[in-house]
Amino acid sequence: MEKFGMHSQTEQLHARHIGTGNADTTKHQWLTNQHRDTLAHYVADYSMATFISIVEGESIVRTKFNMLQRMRQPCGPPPAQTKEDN
Amino acid sequence: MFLYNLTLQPASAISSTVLGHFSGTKQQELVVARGPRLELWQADTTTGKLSIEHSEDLFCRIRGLAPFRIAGGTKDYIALAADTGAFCVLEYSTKERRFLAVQYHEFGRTGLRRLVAGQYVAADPRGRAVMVAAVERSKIVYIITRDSEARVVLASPLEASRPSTVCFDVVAVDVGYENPVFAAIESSYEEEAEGKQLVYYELDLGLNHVVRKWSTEVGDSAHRLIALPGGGDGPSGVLVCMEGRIEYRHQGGAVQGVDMPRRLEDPEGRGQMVVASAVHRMKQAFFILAQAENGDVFKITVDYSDEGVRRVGIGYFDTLPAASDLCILRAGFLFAASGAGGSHQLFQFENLGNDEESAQYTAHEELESLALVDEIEGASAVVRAQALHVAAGEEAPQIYALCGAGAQSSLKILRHGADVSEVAVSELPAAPRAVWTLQTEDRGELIVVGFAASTLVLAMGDDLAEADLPGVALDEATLAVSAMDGGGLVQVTPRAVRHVRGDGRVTEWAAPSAIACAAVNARQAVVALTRGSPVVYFEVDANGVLREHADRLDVGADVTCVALSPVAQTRLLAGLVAVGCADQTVRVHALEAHRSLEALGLQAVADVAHSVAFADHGGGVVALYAGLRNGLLVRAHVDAMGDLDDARTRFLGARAVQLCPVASGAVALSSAPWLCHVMQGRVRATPLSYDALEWAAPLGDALVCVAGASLRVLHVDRLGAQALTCASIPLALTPRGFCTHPGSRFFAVAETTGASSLVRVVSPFDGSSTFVDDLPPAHSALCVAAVRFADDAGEYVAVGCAEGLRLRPRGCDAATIRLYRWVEDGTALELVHATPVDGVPQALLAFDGQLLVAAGRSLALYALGTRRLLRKALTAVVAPHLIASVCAHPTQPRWLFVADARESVLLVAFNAVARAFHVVVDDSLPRHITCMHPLEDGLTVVAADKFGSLFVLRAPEAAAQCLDADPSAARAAYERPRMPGAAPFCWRAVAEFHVGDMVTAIDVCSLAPHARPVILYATLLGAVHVAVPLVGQGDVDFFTALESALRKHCPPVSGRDHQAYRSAFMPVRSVVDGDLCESFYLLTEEQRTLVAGEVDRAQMDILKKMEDVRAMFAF
Repeated sequence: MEKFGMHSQTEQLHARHIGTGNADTTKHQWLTNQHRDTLAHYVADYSMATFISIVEGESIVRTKFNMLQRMRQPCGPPPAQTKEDN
Repeated sequence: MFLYNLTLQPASAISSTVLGHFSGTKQQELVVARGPRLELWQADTTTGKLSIEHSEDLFCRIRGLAPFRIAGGTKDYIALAADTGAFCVLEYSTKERRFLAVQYHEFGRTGLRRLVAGQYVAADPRGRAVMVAAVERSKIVYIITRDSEARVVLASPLEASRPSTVCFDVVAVDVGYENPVFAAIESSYEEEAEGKQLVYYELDLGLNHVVRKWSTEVGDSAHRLIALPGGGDGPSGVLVCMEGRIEYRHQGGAVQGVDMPRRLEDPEGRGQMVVASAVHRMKQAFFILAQAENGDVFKITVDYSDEGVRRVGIGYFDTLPAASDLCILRAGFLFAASGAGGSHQLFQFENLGNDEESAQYTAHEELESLALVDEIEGASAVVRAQALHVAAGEEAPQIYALCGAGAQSSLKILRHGADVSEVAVSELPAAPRAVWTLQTEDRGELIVVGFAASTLVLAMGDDLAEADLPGVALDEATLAVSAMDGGGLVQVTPRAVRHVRGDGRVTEWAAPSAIACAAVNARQAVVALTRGSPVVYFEVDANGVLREHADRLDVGADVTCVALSPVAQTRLLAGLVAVGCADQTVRVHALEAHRSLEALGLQAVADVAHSVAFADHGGGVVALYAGLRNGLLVRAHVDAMGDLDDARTRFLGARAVQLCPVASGAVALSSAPWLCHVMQGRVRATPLSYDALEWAAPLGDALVCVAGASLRVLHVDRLGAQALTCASIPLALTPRGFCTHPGSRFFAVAETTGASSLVRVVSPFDGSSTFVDDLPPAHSALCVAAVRFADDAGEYVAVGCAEGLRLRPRGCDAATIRLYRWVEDGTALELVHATPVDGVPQALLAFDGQLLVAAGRSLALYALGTRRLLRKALTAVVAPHLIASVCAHPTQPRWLFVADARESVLLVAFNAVARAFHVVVDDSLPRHITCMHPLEDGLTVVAADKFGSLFVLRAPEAAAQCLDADPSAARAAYERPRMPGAAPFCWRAVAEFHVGDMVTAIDVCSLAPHARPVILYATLLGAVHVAVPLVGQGDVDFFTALESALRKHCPPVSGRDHQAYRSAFMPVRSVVDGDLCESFYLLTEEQRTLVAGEVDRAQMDILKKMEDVRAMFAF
């Protein structure tokens, strides 16, 4: 019982702290999480968002929107699982 | 090295703006977030002038603001969303004149994090609840109530989080007094079938929980919500802005959509996004102004009945520069806050548009429905900047900054000073010596102009016209003149003191010898004679007669100037007289009857005083100013007993300083006009951006001044709010870089937007473009450098261009270096040739008589040929990732600094024998460099990264020794590296500091003729800072102690831990935050005592120390 209680606690912690990896985390998941963190920072940092919008030649609203859109799948769809992964 | 960081000019770009009654008065005010500062602005509804009432550094990243008012209150509060990981409610205290945190509730970690709320904030229109949301997942709702003393009280937060959901925008829906509802645009990345949704979150006040009440699918380009009025004032619900389309959505209501009209010349292509919007409520109706990316403003009207919205109409309204926020003031003004554009503008509504709703329109060339009434200029989105001595006759360097993006690009010239607007100019027959203003009962304010041997009286109407003032001797010179209490005036001429009574009778006191100088006020006169017992004092007696005082004042030296102290509010007479003497002293004597010209204070000065003046700085603080013949200005504090202490000296210019007292302080006129005044507790001397003046006098809230043979009426705008003034030269495209011609000082600027580019020569003096070369289509100009080649006397400009540039991943179809030669005395360019190069040219540099080209990771050297540039050396891999910029070494022509876009700074030496570049010093930290500047020792470099940090890197002693022995680094390069792939030596970080905004330009210069050099840097959002090197260990200890005492006792109002903020990415090292130290000026007396006790210094000492640093290094 003790063992299971601990397990569910770990699960809960994993759910709360997104990006906490485990042995089964794939490279794609890890990278996606990194990209999401980066994009969220760029959106939140007004100075950085302005910088990117100037480089891209877009309005800051569009730059932020594009970055938020990219947060949904920053590294594309997950690769098809092969037998080795399982 | 120990640095003291000071902000000279706060950031100019406004990231968010809210409108409300923050002082609790009837007047609508704006609270704007500019970088880390929160400011309270007021718009004068009669004159249409914007004023900055208060500005405070919150030491955090401000991400959003929302105003709310609790039920029954008259004052608006501000809900602050920042990187504090907390919900903070701010109030503007009219008593303390600063922002106060009334509620503070922590909910998460600090920093700009994906899952910690703080990106969006929305307040219920009835002030019952506030939602704070994160970019992903978290949404927190606070219920706001009031206690018995009408203070804001927060209930514990309620969570409405949904995992794996990206949030695009949050607004509060106006539902009247039903349960508060917040609307959000969300998109889940787990549920792939689910598209983008508009979600309503309802706060059930009865059950005290938040439910996801309703959701509906919206278009994938939905990016912004606009809440409509509700609860009897409108239909409630929201407008969802999508690319080129706006839709009305509400729970239980039908969808009503409308396409945004398009410009006639742009009928196809992607739709415009809405960048800013404002809802204006009138008594029976409302309308919405929404601005698209290209700057076009649309007026949206909603046709509704009790059944719901029938249709949404949209029509083109007008075109403004793209704003970051729009606010409509009830008095008929539109405020447009600018993000990257630079200037914030206030418009007045001329009409409400023609309500024509066509699908296509032609944009207005000029404003038709709005009229510009005021503008606050700022240098925002600084791309590159440099401090240069270009303008002739100016002793201080000017900051030339390339600013803006796209159509709003400009070259800004920043210099220390206050903006002055010219109200009137009047040419006179001869050059006046002095000017005074007289307040008369029947004829308003009159202006008395004194010439060498005559006097003129003018009246200020629509124009300056000669006026008649009986009794004034017009055929004599005037030394001083003043209106008297109870009518009449006193005029001092070199020959006599003339008292003109109210009924026109004139009494004259003939002087035994010529009068040298005089000072008069409404009841007193002091004149100094050229010979004999010098100073004679007059006072109006009970019968209204100006009588000579029994005693005369003999100071034992020739008197050069006199001044009377300001008359205290409860008194009739001035208590003190100041006398400037030829023995290089300024003396203060009492004028009160029982003390009869008793000597009180004496101040020795460095030269003979040319003029003296008292200034009342408010709060019982009186200062005595003495302007000396050698151009120095001395300020001394005058205490209640008339003693002088705490004297400060500063250099104003090459001319003797003439002082003229005005309402807020004193005007000091030397080779430039200065205004001495008090701003936020600190006495400042601010130069006025205007021509040299000879004399000034107050005229209402303006100044009437003498400049040569003309009389000017000037108004000082927004005094003290901004230390730097900004002149602007418009450019066409986003600027990328510039260089100057050494002789003509004209600027060559490379500009690029999208696929079009040009190279322009612009005059910094009149702003005219003398040469424009449009680059071929699809070419992007990326970098520019001034270059001189060995064996060629010509001055050249090299421009790095890429054809078909791609940003991700970086690449291009072809790249060239276009070489131009300066012609026509440095006012135009001539294309010499274009040379193809490999890779995207990132940076160019004149290097040892050749041109250095950095492309990708490589460095190449080119010499001048007749048909093309000739490659002389190439090192394919110098930087580990991508070279961002290169910088010449200050002493060694064959060394240079290379900045990598991700891997910090490298010190590189060129080996002329092997024709190869060797990296000598690299970094152990991955720093994303934006700009750098080497210091004079050649082994230290100041650099900044993309995340807003500034740092100083120094090469170790061993590297210096190695390079001394082996300047080409030939041996060092082949010795065993300290690890594979690394350079022989590694930088040591000697200072680290988080600025909070991306630094885009660093320079080292002296800001004033006698000031010591400082590190000057500008940030992307338009702030200008200096990092001052502290020299003595005593100063270092003092400021460190002061900083930590302030951190402890008076932390920033945002609740962000100051030390943690300054250490956001790297722990702060060897830098004291001068902005925090200067918050000492704003503290209350108890707080000051507390801090002074902790530092173990007197308050006066602390103030003097901070002022000394400013005087020695900056302004």
